Amino acid sequence: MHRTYYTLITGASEGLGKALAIECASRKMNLILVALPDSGLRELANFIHKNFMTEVIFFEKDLSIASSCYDLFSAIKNLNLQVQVLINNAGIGGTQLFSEGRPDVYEKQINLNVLATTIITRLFLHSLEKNTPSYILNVGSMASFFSLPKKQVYGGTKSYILSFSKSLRKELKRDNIFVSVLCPGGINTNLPVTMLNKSGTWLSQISVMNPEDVAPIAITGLLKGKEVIIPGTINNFYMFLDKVLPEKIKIILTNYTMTKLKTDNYYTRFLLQHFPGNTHQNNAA
Amino acid sequence: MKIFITGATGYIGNKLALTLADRGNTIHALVRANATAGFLQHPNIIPFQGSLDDRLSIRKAIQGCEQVYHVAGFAKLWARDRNSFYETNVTGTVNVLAEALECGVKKVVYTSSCAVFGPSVKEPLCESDPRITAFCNDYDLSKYIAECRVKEYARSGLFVVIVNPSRVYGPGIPTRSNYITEMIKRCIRGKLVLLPNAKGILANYAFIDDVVEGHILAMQKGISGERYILGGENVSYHRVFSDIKNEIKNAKLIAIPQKILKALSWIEIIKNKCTGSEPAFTPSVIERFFRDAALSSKKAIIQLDYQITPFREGIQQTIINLKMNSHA
Repeated sequence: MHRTYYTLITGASEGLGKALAIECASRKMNLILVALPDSGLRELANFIHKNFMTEVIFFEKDLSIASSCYDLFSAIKNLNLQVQVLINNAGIGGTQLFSEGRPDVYEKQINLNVLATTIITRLFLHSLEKNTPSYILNVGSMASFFSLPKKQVYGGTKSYILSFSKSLRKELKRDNIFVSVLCPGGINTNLPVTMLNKSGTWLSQISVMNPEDVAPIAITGLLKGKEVIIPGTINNFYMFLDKVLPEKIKIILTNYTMTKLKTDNYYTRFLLQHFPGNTHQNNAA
Repeated sequence: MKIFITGATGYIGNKLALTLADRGNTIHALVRANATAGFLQHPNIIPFQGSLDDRLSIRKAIQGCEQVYHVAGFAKLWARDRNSFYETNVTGTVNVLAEALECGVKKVVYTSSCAVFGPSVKEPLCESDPRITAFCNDYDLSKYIAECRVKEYARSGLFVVIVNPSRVYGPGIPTRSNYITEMIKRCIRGKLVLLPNAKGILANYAFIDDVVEGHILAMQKGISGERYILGGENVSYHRVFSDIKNEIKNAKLIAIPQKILKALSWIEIIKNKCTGSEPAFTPSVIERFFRDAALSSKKAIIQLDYQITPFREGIQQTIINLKMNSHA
C-alpha cells in the first residue's frame, strides 16, 4: 500500500515557519502545521491546500508548555500520520539586557527553544526511524556561534540547538536519518521584528534576509543532508571573518553592532506606540 | 448628510468627494495648505485646512459629521525621509480614528491597498489569505500596520470598514496612483511607453468608478472590522497590451525584460542617492511586476453588491474621456 508521508513544521503560522511550509508544499510535500491558537493557521492551511494541492493538517498548540508537545504527539499518532520530515522551527527571539528581561519570559523562551525541540524530536524519533530516509531540521541562529551581548538567553538556547543537532546527527546517521541545523542571521519574520531590523546598524541590516529567501536554501540543504546550513552570502562572509580575524577585532565588531542597536530611535518608539508589550519577545533571531 | 473625507485632492478621494457631493451630501474635506484645492470646486464641498498629523485640524473638520472616509495616504515609492510613510499612513490613520471615536462619528471607511496582499500563487487571493512574502517596501508595510490598528479600533467599538482597491485606472486627477491612465495618455499622444516583458503575468485592475462606488457600498453594507477587496478583472500584461493596441492603433508599447528593468531601477536608485530625485521605479516594484498578483473581489460582490466594469470597457471609457479632455 502506498504510504502518505508528512512534514511536521512547528511555529508555522508566521515568518520562517510559514515560508518553510510554502516551500515544502511547492515541493509537493504533505504538511502537518503547528502554531499558537488564533495565529491564522487555519487560513494558511486553506491557502496552501487550495494553491499547492498537498494535504495540510494543522494543530493549534502552545509548545512552550511541555504537555502540549505530548498532546501533539498523541494526536498525530491517533490519526496514524507518518512523519518523515521534522522541522523544529518554533522559537522565541529577544534582544535585551539580561537585567531587562523577566524571569518567566526566560523560562518560556528556554521551554520552547530547548525543551520543546528536545521532547518533540524524541517523541517522533520512532516515526522517523520507520520512514527512512527521513530528515530533522532544527532552527538555530548565527547566535549559535557568537556570544553576543543582549542575546544571552536566546544565544544560549540556540547554541544548545547547534550542539544537540550535531551530536544527534552522528548518532542517527546509521539509521538513515539526516539531521541538519539552520543558522540564519536576522530575518524579517513578523511585523515588530521587521520594524526592529530597520533600526540596526548597516552591518546587521545588510545581513537581514526575507523568510521566502531563506526557506528554499534551508530545504535544499536539508534534503542534501548538509550538517550546518548558513543562508546568505553576507552571513557566510561573517562566518569566514570569524575564522580569520583575531579575537580582539571581533570583540570590537560585536560590541559596535550591539551598542549601535539603539534603544531610542524612530522605529523603536514607533514599536512601543503601535505594538505595546511586544517589542522584546518575538519569534525571531 | 455631513461627511468628512481625507485625501479629497487625490485620485480616488477626489472622485469620491465629488460623487458624494453630487448626491446632495455636504463634504468636509481635509486639505493641506499647499494642496491644489482647485480639484474641489463644488458647492457642497467645504475645504478645511489641516493635516493628518494635526489632530486639532482633524477635529475641527470632523465635528458634526456622521460618516468618515479616510482615503488619504502617503502613496509613493520613495521618500526623502522614509518615516513619512509611517507618519502619514499609520499615525495619521490613528489620529483620524481617534477623532472619529471621540466626536461620535457613526461609520468610517478606511482605504487600504491591495499592496498589503503580496503575490498570488494559483488561485486569486482573497481577504483571508496569508501574505507569502515579506514586506519589501515602506509603503506596503505602513499600510499593513495601519490595517492592524484599524482592526483594533473596530474591536474597541468604532464602526470601521476596510477597503482594498487594486491597481486603479480610469479618468481622474493625474497622480502617481493613476499610472495606468497616465500610460494610456502617453499612448494617445504617440509617445513611447515601456512595459514589463511579463506577458503571462496576471495583475488586477480596478476601474475608478467601481472603486468609488465600492467605497460608498462599503459604508452602507460593510461589516465593521472586515476588509473588502475592490478589484476588477485579473488581466495578463499580454491583454493590457492588446486591449490598448486595439483602441489606439499607433500606440508605441515596448516590452522590456526584467533584467534590463532591474538594471534601470538601480540606475534610478543611484541617481536618487546622488541628486535626491524621486526614482521613477524601484527594484522592489520591478520584482512585483514579474509575479502574479491575481485578486478575487467575490466577498465585495456578495456582501456589498460591488460591481466590476470589464477591463476592455474600462479602457475604452478611459480613452474616450482622455480624448475628450485633450480637445477641450
